[in-house]
Amino acid sequence: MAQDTSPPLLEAVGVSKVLSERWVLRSVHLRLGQKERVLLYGPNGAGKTTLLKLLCGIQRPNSGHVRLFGHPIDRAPRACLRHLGLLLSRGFFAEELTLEENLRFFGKLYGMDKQSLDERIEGLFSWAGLEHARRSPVFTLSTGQRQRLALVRVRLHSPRLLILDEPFNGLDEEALGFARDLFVQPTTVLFTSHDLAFSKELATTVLLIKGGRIVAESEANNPALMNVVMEALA
Amino acid sequence: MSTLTATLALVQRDFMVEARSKEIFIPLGLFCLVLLLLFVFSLSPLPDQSRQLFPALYLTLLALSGILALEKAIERERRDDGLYGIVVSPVGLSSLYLGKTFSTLAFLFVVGIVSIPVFIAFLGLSLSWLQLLWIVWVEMLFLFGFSALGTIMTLLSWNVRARHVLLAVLLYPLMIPPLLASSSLMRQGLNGRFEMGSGWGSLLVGFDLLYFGMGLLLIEHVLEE
Amino acid sequence: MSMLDKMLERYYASRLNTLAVTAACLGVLGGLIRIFWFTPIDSYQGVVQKIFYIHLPCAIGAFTAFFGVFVASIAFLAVRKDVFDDLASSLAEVGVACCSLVLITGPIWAKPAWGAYWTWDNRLTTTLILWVLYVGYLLLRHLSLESEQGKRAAAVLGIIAFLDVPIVRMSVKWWRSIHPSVLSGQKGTGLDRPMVETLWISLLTFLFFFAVLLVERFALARAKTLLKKVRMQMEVC
Repeated sequence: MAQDTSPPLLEAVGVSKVLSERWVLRSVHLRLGQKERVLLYGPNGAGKTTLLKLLCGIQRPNSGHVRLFGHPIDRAPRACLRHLGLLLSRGFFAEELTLEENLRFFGKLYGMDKQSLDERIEGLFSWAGLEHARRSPVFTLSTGQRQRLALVRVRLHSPRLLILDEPFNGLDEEALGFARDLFVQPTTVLFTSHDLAFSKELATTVLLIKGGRIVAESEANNPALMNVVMEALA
Repeated sequence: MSTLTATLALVQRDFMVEARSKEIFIPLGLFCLVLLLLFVFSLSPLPDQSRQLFPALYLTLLALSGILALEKAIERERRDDGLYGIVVSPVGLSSLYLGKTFSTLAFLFVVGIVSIPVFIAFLGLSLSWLQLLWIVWVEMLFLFGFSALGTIMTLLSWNVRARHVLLAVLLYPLMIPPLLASSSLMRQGLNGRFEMGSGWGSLLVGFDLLYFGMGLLLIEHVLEE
Repeated sequence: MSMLDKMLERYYASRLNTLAVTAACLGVLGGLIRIFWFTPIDSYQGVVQKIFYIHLPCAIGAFTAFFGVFVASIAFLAVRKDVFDDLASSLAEVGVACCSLVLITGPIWAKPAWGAYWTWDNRLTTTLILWVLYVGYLLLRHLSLESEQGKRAAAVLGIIAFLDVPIVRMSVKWWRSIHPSVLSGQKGTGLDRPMVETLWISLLTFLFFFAVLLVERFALARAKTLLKKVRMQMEVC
């Protein structure tokens, strides 16, 4: 990643985070350049989700700093968040509203005009195979369908940068197929996954995280990737 | 995306959710009614007393049931981590505060208006149209302060153990001045004096503006995890 | 370690704190002796008026402490340094202690003076509301398990609560007031010279006592925070 000279979309410098008197992250450095697709891989409790939350400004680090699109995250203009798509373990939906109503709400938050929003929703519903459910309330969806809907929400405003926490959770074979579309150029993606075999195909770089530290970094197409992983996470 | 449009989008969504789930209006209205029954039975006021009692009773019941509306409004956002969705969107955090404050205000306002006839019937009051309007106006000022302060207090006590009790313990003492002010204003209205220029009027408006401003100023500290 | 922590360290290492605590205790004792044996008895209210010499310093202490919480809370939100959080929590505790003393001494004075333990007068009611607010503040701190989020919540509450004080004061004043306005030279509550002197002495001794108490409490809070930091650092190494 270091050879990239263009300004990074997302940068963390020496970020540490303490939660309930435990170090969840310890001086993490991370640089996400244009069009990179970085997989964050590590055991449960390694600090992956916390790192993602720090990177999008939901939490603040105890030390170190985060820059998003070149701005310090706590002083970044709100407008630049338009280019960020975030997926965490839950979908951010209002359960009682229909799929369509929820998406329309997010479209409004991102300042999309009605016509392009309609087209976008139409397109994404057929992409995710959710057309038949568009008028059902969100609470009627299964886990997998919810995840599909969450992916639709993430793509809705065509962000340049995606931060995805376990995007393949609960997806079936069909859904895994179209979930690949999230990773096509020119989007920049930072994601976590427990399915290394599947995700390494989608990533350009793999970062290994353990005990709140980034312990190793490897090209995703490195034939010795498995050895690196075994060694680093042992 | 202006603050206004974002706020409207948030309020509109809260209304839609409420229209589907009715989890604020109906429980709150019933709770108000039950409390009223309790108070009427335990106090058993004489006709001339009930006129004096009405403002205090009415506002206290609104404040008591209002805390449920505050919690519900935030709980909805927390259920599927909806707050994160708004925090990472280009919408300013002030819109979130405005949206939550205004939708809570609207819900409570409607509950308040709907319960006025019940109060009138149970307490055997006779009011002129002007007095009714005056009561609605004062009620709105009271509930505005309540929602503005309450939204901040609900958010700040959210991740604390025993938060339900704590919210009540923290919010109600702060609400004493507007309660005194609005019940005095209502009582003056019932006696035929309709003036906001008195000390009470400015105290109530001042309280509302102060805490509304503080809410806008402090929301970012409360939302950060 | 910051300058402040170094100063605290030196204060304790040089045993200055023992001196200060002893002086504070002796001061309060001396003040009490002066109040009860060397001050004339009030001609209207009798011996019970003497409680006023304790009541007033406590009230001033409480109010100053709560104002301190307000300032420290703003500072904490602005720069997010633990030192301000420690200061706010120590001030709040000392403030609640003073406020409790006000609420205990008030009724004792009120019973003979006004004929009832509790009257819903301006200052008593305001003090009661203040007390409830700041006990709530301490409760919030306690229940949020010293998390970062809890500290920010406490700071926000510290600001909101203090801003409510003048509004509460005003509203309760209009609501009802029979509290004597002390020191205004009104008949019946006017103080003559030795009484004024006693008042000053007790003010100084009591406030000094509260200040020493605050330093002790603050040093404890700092020690706790620093210890936590050291422990976290050791974990890193």
